[in-house]
Amino acid sequence: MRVGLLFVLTAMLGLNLGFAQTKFTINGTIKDAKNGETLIGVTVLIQELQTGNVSNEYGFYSLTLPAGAYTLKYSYIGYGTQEQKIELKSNQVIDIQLKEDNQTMQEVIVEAKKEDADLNVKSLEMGVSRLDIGQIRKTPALLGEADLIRALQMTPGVSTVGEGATGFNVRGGSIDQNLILMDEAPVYNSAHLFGLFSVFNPDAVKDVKLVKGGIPAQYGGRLSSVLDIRMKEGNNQRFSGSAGIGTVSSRLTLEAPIVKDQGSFVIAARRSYADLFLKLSSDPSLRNNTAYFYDLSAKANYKFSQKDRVFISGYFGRDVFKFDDDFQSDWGNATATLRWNHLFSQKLFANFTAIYSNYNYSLGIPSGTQAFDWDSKIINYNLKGDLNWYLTPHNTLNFGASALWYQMQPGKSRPTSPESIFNVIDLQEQNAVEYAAYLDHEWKISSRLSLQYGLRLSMYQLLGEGTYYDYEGELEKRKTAVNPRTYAKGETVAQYFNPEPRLSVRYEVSPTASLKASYNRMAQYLHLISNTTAASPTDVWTPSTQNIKPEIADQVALGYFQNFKNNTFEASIEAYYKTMSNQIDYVNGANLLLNPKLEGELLYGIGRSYGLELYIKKNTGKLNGWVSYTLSKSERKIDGTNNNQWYNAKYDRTHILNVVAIYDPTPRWSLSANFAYATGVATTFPNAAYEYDGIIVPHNTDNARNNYRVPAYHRLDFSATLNGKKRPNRRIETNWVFSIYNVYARRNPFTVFFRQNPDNLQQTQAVRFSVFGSILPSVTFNAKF
Amino acid sequence: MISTAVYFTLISILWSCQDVIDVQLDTGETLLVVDGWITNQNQSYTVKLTQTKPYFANTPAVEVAGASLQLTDNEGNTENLTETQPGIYKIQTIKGKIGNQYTLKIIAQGETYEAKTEIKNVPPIDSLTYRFKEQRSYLKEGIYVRYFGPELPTIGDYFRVKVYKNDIQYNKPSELIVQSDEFINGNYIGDLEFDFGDPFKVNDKVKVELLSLPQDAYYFWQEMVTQVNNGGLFGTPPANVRTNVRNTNPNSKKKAVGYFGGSAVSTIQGTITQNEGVIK
Repeated sequence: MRVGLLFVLTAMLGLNLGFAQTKFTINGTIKDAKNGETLIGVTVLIQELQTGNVSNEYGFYSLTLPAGAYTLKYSYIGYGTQEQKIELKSNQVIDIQLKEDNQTMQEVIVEAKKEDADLNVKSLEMGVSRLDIGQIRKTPALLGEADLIRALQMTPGVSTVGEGATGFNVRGGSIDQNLILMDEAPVYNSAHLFGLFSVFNPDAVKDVKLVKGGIPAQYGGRLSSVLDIRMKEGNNQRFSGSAGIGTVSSRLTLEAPIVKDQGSFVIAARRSYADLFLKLSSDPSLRNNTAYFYDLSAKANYKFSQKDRVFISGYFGRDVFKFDDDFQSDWGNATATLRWNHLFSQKLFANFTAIYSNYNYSLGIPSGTQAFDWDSKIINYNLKGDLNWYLTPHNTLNFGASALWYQMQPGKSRPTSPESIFNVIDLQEQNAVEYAAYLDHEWKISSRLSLQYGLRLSMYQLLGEGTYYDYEGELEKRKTAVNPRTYAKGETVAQYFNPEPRLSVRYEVSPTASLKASYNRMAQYLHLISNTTAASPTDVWTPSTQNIKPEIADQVALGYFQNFKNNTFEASIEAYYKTMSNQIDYVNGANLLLNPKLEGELLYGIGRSYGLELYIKKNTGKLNGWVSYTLSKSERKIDGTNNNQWYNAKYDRTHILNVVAIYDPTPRWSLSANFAYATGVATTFPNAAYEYDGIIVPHNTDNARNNYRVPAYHRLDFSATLNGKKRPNRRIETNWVFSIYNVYARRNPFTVFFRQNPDNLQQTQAVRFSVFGSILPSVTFNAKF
Repeated sequence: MISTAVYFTLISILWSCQDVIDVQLDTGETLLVVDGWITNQNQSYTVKLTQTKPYFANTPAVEVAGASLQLTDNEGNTENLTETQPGIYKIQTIKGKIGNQYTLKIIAQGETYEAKTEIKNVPPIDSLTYRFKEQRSYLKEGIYVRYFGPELPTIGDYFRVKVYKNDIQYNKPSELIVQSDEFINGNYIGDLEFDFGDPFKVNDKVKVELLSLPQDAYYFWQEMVTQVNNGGLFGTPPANVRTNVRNTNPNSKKKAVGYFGGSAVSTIQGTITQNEGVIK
């Protein structure tokens, strides 16, 4: 830490001394000319110096240069490059509006490709997957629902435990190791319909970035990745909107200026309607069933002055199930984010954020003797400040601090009828705080070598009030709670402190190729307790205690990035190795529901994962798309599982191949195909059986875990998009998307399980459970104005 | 509340499909299987010894004959069990009593094993009611039986429920019922309906048994219920069901599986005479 600071100071001082009298700052905001949306990650190149900067999450950029004449080039993928010649004699504000390719002239496009498409080679980032929402819309989607998380699963290093499972696994990490941020608010369950779709409405989303390695110091709290989703700000030029009618859901998005160029809002809603068809059923019991999800996103922003801009955004989503009067359940996330962008100076950009996030679920039986209502929630409040200090074109300092308060109600169950057989169960509320401060320095040492290094300090406290226990017992068995200790409100129960160093280095081998390396340490204080194959909505997040230690991961990664044929192709190869400590597993037959002594059911151990990721993408031309291949291994070693030996994590998949191809034969038609292949997940199979009281019980005499694999997963999808005729005097653009999911109707196994044949109980059989066993066609109609 | 998992499975079945496939499995070493239970009912009990078999063997279990079994209780009674058929060993003198502890010693195939259990108290069954129900989407037409009875005021009671139709036990993996009093302690259990997808008809005989279980035996049954009904979106990782049969030589690699347990039993039975009625 001390050495790092000294390093920064020396670098800053040296530069300041050298140019103290002659420097001026250019700053501004870069926007989309059509709708005023700020653009994230636009390259600003100073032609004369062959260096520059990139716009931040709010479209802000700043460059401090000696006085002189310069040519600034602003370029962004999919947009025409803009050139600006300046005589720098004083500080200047230059706001830029970039136009999308299809609105600019042909020669500009060609230039744009040259300038910006090599961001993957030029930037320090590695282990980053960006999603292009326009491209996602063109590719085949399950039941026609364009979906961010399913699209991410087509990129290297990202996998899932099975089709239709909640969440995603990054570089051998579990699903709770991904920090999913929706406008900076954490989202605790990213799934609608148990995982078939994700909770993000693509119409409301502007930018999606998944960081799997070289995670900057700004982020913390999860081991494996950060999924940073930024919502649209809304059109500040004119009233506009979009709508879609699909097989599963319909969508409507409206956006408009509050005051033109000063502020805007956007509101986007989506609802599924399978239940509306159920209402038409002739079977009265089906008619009374309900199953739907909806989500609503809203955001507004207003620029109060050149220096201040305020954003307020919210998300609310829910899944609702009701089976007649027998069972009901609903769950969902709600988030709210208030942000204030403030320029302390032209060089110092600050963003202050207040965040509220709530995930809760409830389930129950509404009436009768088994009537109950059970709910559980995790709420968190977060205050943070993030600052970018653009010292020179070669040096940027990022620093900030954050305070998080978690409030968890793991479960509360009440009888809801006078004749109910159930008692009141009220698990103790848990409170915890997490503080963090970070400093990070991006330093372009030379035109070839750049460095980003930083340190995040995180501190966590589990706070009273409450009673906490120690646990005793045999290793493999359920442990007994002993030594109860009662803590007063606000009293510290357990405390942890972790320094988390981060480092990324880039060396430019040639103008089209670079070598990158990174290291990051991450600490995670919150854990999802889930022992099912796919995470269920009733899984509970639990804080670190004196027994559940924080998870720590160290990851090193090495990558080579090269672009070919004038950036038509971009290619990368990355290798990573990650170790994880304090990984959680469960005793056999663990009882995780409404269990006040939950920690007695847990086992702890370590994990490691390593792999190689190959990615080649064709950015332009009538035929474009990508091929992604991942070779990887993810293992766990848990005291009390698999005879204390290493075993494959359940989502370990040796080979994953994804091919996405998009072909645009005419301006009106776009055709696309996906192919996905993955080694089957690891699972435990029996090697013996015994009869007990007439039941045939499977048994593994080696006491092994995940000793087999289910058969491989593969799937082919097609889609075709027909764009409506463009008429110069009509503002409405429409398209039809026809898609076929699982073209050759493969029954991809989600699990293989063993049972007695229900028709002949003397026989045993292996059964393949597939989430989809058939071909799934769909049609979606989209319109925008 | 146990039904939560069932309902989520039901929901996920909406889109899914399952089919039988061929899987090549290894064959593990052969282990001793102990299947025995002692209750407070006035009858004799047997302990059955067999061997594990390859999972897909689909042949009857091989008995372990010629073993020596000895049962002792905490009153100081000891009895050597008599092998009445190959692998079937009969308890003749020792009776099951509520509150007593039992130790079964088995010498088989050169190894010595031991299993301990006890018999816990059981509440009575007050009555059964039955009622005809029409077919609904996932409910078959027929007569459904409901259970009425108290639960013990102490916390930490565990039960197994056995239901018989015309003296044949509902004994498919999906029909096993074990319950802890964790969420229902001390409450009157009324109107609890049995639905095995195979309802009763008029003139059927119905019998319901409530068996008390020691905590470890409850976990044994609960783990078995999980393992023999595992699958689907929210299945848990397959894991071995616990056993209380221990090799007395901790260094021996020969392990046993199965369970020797004890229960007190409450029974109620009668005949269904019409579409709606009560059995006391």
